[in-house]
Amino acid sequence: MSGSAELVEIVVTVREDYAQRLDDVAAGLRAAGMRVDDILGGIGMISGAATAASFPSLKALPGVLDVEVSKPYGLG
Amino acid sequence: MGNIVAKDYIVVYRSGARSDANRVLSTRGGVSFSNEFDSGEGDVDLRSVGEDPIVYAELDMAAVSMEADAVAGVRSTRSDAILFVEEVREYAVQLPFDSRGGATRMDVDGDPPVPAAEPASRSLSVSASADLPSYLRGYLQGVAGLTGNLLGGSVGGGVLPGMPAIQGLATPESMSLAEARVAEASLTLPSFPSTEAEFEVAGSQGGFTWGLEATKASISRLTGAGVRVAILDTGFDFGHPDFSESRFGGHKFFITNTASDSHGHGTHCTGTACGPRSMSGGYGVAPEAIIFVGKVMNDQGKGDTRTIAAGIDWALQNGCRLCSISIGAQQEPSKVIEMAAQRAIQKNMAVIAAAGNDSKRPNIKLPVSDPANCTSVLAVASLRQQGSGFALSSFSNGALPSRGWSIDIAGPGENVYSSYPVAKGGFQRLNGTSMATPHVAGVGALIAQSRPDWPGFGIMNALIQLAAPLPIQVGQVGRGLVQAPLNVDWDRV
Repeated sequence: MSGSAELVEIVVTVREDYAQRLDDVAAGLRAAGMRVDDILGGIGMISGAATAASFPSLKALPGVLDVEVSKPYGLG
Repeated sequence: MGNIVAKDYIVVYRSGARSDANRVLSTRGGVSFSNEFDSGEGDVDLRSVGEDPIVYAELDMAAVSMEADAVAGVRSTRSDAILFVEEVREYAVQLPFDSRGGATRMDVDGDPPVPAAEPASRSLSVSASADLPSYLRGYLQGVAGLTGNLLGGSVGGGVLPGMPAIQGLATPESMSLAEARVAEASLTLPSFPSTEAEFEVAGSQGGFTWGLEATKASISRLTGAGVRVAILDTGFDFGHPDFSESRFGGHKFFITNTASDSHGHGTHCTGTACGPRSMSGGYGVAPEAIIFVGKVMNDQGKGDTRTIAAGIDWALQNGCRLCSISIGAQQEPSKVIEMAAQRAIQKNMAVIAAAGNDSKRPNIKLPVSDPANCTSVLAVASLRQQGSGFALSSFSNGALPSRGWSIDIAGPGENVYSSYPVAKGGFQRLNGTSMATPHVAGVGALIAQSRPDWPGFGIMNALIQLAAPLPIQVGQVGRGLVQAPLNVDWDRV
């Protein structure tokens, strides 16, 4: 079980039709164990961190379109 | 009463929610699914939906016939299985005309139209086409013929209409899709004086940078006045003497604890997009744009999906019309950045990113970096001066046959003079698609100034529309060299 408890930084994409209910979606994510850091109202996303094991349950929540692990970028 | 006429609608399901959606359509819309027709099963006259719905399983959509009251019932449901319902609209075939005034031949049995150009041009053999399906062969021949015509009938040593002869352009032995061959060509354009040698001092005293001349920003009457431009990068040196406090609309850091730039990259990119320019000189494309500095990269030039997404969101929420992202990683397109850009460009903001500098041409060609490889992000390649023309930078990433990602447009990206942190000398010349990108964003700000109500995708389309074609493979430079609109009437026909 070691490792699966480690928090991974993620960005959750919220469905278009939930754009006005981001706070509700964030509450659902928190209840499912995600650490919510930032609610991005303009583009309809929520960033934070969660365990990899929780991704399937996060993806199954109402209003959640996708969960993507944050990746590193460099200068172009 | 009065609402008894049934009309045809397309119902868009939430992905994977087909059975729930069908239940909503039956209970609230009165649609019967006992005889539903799967569009994959065979021929069907889609012009008349009739009583039975047609399901497009691959698209998660259905065509149904409903009365207005039923549509209202479906739209008011609390179920989230249906994303939206759109009335079927009429479209007509657009018959293209060739230069001789005749309609272009259009096959009706599945082949795409072949431009009524010369048959496959002599110098552009389509050698890899033998084992391709016929529609691909037709497409290839059409492209080859069209390319040949655009280049004056022959690619090698060809002449662009209204332009002097192309010098040094290698004749591709084959324009096959299997080999993304880069013609590192130089195009002789009507010459403008090179002021590079005289350009010693900043701002208005030393002439224009070559990038401002190449993009024609140097002679544009537009300045980007009032247009909000976000530069998502390593921040900015707010102590720079060329930028008064009034130039900035806001700044925010998403990493580290200040928006100040001790790296230099962000200060340089900001200068190219929004630095000073007057009648007599300068290095900034949009000198009256309102600058939004989003520090999404730390002082070592590192950031991540979260910081970039947050930066795009911040820019969008602050009314920015342009978002310049000189950032990249060699990886698959981020679905997050793609979705963020998709949402941004439907609103007010165009999203522009650097193709990346991982190539070592002609030997090593690498694909467009993420996030420039996202479909809804404009991907920018880098050009250098060559003689009095331009050539593709050896480091510039591009389209590869193994990937669908491509370049949209190119900008000046070598020997680019711009602002730099005061502690590091105040000015610097840098190379990279990072430097080409803010040239494009700056020109985007000039377009946005001239079209205040345009959404982001309109600005992006205009950037492509205005670009000057280059005799270099489209996959490597897109539509061509970014060109500034000279005044507000740039699209008058």
